[in-house]
Amino acid sequence: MKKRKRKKIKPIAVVTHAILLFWGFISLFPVYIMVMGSFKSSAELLHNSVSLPETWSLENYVSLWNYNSGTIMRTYLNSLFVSTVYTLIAIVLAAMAGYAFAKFTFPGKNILFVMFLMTMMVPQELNLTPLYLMYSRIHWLNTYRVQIVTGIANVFAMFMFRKNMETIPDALIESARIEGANQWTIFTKIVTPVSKPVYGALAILVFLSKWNEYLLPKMFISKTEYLPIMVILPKLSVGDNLYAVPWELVLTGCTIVTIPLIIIFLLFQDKFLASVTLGAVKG
Amino acid sequence: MKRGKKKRKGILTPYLFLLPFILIYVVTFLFPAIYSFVLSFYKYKGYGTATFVGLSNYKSLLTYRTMWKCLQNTLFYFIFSFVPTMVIAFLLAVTMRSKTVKRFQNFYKPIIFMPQICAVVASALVFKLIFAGDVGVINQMLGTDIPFLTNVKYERWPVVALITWRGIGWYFIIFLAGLTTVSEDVEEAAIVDGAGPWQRLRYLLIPLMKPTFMLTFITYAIGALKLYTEPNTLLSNNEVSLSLAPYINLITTNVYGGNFGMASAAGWFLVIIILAITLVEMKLLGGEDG
Amino acid sequence: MKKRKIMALITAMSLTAGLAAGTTGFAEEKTVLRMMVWGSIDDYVPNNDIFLENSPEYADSIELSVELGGSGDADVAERFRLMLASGEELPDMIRLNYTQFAEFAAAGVLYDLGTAIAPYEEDIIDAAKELMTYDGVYYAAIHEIKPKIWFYRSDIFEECGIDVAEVKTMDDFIAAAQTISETYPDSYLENYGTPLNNYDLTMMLCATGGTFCDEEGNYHCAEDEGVRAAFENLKKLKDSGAFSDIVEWSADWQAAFSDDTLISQLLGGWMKDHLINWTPENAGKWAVAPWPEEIAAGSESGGGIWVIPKNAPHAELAAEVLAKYACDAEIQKAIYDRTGKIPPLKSAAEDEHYLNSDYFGDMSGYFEALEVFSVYPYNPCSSQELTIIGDYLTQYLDGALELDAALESADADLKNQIGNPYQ
Repeated sequence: MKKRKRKKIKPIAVVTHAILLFWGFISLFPVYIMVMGSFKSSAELLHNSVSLPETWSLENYVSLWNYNSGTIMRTYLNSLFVSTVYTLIAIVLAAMAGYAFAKFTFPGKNILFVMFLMTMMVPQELNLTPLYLMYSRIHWLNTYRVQIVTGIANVFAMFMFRKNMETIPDALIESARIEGANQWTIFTKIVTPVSKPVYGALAILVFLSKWNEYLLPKMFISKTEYLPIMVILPKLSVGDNLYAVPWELVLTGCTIVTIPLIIIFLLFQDKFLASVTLGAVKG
Repeated sequence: MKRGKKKRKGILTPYLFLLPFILIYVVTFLFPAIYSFVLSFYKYKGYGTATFVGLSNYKSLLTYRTMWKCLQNTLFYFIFSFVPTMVIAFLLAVTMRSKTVKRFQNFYKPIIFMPQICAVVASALVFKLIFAGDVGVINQMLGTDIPFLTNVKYERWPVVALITWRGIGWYFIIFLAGLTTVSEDVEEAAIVDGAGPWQRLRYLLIPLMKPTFMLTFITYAIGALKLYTEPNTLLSNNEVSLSLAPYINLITTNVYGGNFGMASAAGWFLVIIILAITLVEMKLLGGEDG
Repeated sequence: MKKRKIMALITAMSLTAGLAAGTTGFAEEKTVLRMMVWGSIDDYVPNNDIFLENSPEYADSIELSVELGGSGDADVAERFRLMLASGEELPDMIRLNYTQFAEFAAAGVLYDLGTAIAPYEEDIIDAAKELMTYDGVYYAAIHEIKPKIWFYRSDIFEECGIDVAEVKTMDDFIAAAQTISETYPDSYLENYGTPLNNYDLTMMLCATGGTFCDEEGNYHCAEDEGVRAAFENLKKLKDSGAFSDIVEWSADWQAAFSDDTLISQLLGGWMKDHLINWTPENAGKWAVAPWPEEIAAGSESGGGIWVIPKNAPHAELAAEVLAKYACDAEIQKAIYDRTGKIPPLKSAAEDEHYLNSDYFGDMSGYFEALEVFSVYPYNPCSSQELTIIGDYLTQYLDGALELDAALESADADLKNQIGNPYQ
């Protein structure tokens, strides 16, 4: 019998990889433009947007570093701090609430659910004005608190947790209960480990959505010490005019902001996106 | 006896788990929502006196021709980005599970997710450069001069492209997480039964993913109707022309104009529309509540 | 769960650190004057330093602290409204554009700067005084006055034999464009790609004397001669075929100055800085002049101003400081050296220092333009008006609507959305 080499390449594999690579190219292309743009001067950027820079220059990076004596660094750290704390707390709250909806029946469940659904329907722009007035009265403007607490009841995350936890076999929970575990232990020792992929995925998504947040901090914060970097990025002007976009500076700023995120993502992606099978309970 | 005790304790548990969530919800959402709802019946500059005007804001809104145009724009952006985003994101997620790709997962996942890691504003500005006229990347590469961003007929498409490009990264992750609930045993069984990849997709994965689909379709619709940043950054050379603006611009224009009552009315009208569309989607996707 | 506990500990520590970082320090002996601006704090801090260096009487007693109200003037205006509504402590000085001035002045929330300005009043040019007053009272100080300026490539104009002083009407302007295109077919004197900016409309309205509503606030665009003329003028220029289709502020527009596609612009004074930054290699080739006489009157949205809220904690002191900041010739000269912003002072018009720019050469054209300066009558709802009307202007220019239809629809929408701007 001829030994077939296992390395036979199936056509479907080629097609699959081709599609993935094609999409990868589209995904990355704008990022490539962004990074390349950060090395070009303002003038060059405009007549040579596609190819590699004619003259590689770190001028933009230097401008940003010197910008307003270290604002970039400070606001960057602000963003990191706010987004991290927010994510940690939001995920926990959402998981707890999602669990309640997934595994319990109680009076008012449906009404509450619909109410929460409504949160998502109301655009943020609508609520900002009354929130501003409220925060102003309790002196929460220009703090970190206001950025973290607002919206920490993340309805989307809660829904995802609910959907995921609903699929956890009741048998699993029952067997723990019979062994005398209380609700909190069940939640932390049984439900959570099993939902790890969802925790991971949502942590990333929640972090990013907070990181990208622009409208809210712009409204509630006016002191640079508390501003996140996303608010000052679009208007890194070096002039008084509100219309001009300093392309090269903004692209550079975005590159600075994006690269560390990519690195963190690459380092931790296993933890976050690991697949866990629900093989814990048989029969 | 012991059972009874546990049952009484049990009743409180869900509420305790929900408590922190509900507290924040009431304070940061319910209060401002009610406030803005009441405000929609007044004319208020944000300071000074508020004059009660009843339904007049809503009446003006419904007879404002531009409002319907903005709504139409938002729906355009929604529908034309919805299909490509969902289809591509799902297909990409499914391929991650296939044997040929599994080994390379850690290579592909970050790449597919990359658009989400870039800030919205940054991406929009890059797209502005990509679709520009003479200096645009696309025009330079193809040697053409397509007025993507200056001709009204084309202008909405770059926005659709931007939304789709970013959306796929996000929903890819969601679908991946959703697919993990499909146990491998079930799929093994199907393979053993002789089901080919397409059949597995149609008869196994898609039905099992239905709850996830329902959730994502609804959240996508809601997000799309609240669209603001992408069109405004991409299309504005200072201000977005009202014929292309998404609906939310009506709220912001009024807020910037000091017309808070009208802004609130515009906002709440949108909520009603979102509610309507959500209910329609829930009906179409069948049965289950939420 | 150990991991959990560690996470909780880290969270707690970060929260504490964050809150601690947020608390303010000791109360300082110096009075802190808060300035609320937009865009970039970097633009104002060095100017503040210049002020303090030149004002020994204030050096030990005041401190100027700059805060960011948002990315644009509309953001700062919105913030101002909200601060008034919530009763929180107001900043001492607020940066606005003239567009927003009417609203706040009319509402009576601004501090009267009359006494503080008095010592400098004589030196301020009349055009600037128009910007600073509402109903005869001084409520604003000037940050930057924005006259209508015609920027043009003097080298090309000379080559083609065009003398800007002879271009007096729109027809002359079109003819000049055609003359130049004989030698330079790909170079244009202006771009009228739609949609136009709000300032294009207001600059034309200043010249034709149009207003959207009458003094009682009734919208009358369809009947108003000035509005009709403004619309028609813009259409005439666009339809002449002599100008470019590039849209202002697009990527193409910025690039057009480097490759000589655009060799002149009818704009406001602020364009000065952009030309210097975008095409440094063209230094000495660009020059300034007033607009063609027929359409020269007015301004580009008036200018940038500073106001002081009536209930600001240090209103009186801030007024004194602001008056000196904005009107003192020496300080303004130092600021000019740093930023190129020409002060609206009579002494500046005669000062050699300002008459020569490295980039533009002879600047007397700038001061000539200031002589026909007048302000467009903004009302409390102007920004919203312009957004609404701008859309109809675009449709008219694109040929989708006839003039009457466009203006009538504009009136209908204005009444619908705004009602009466004075109520």
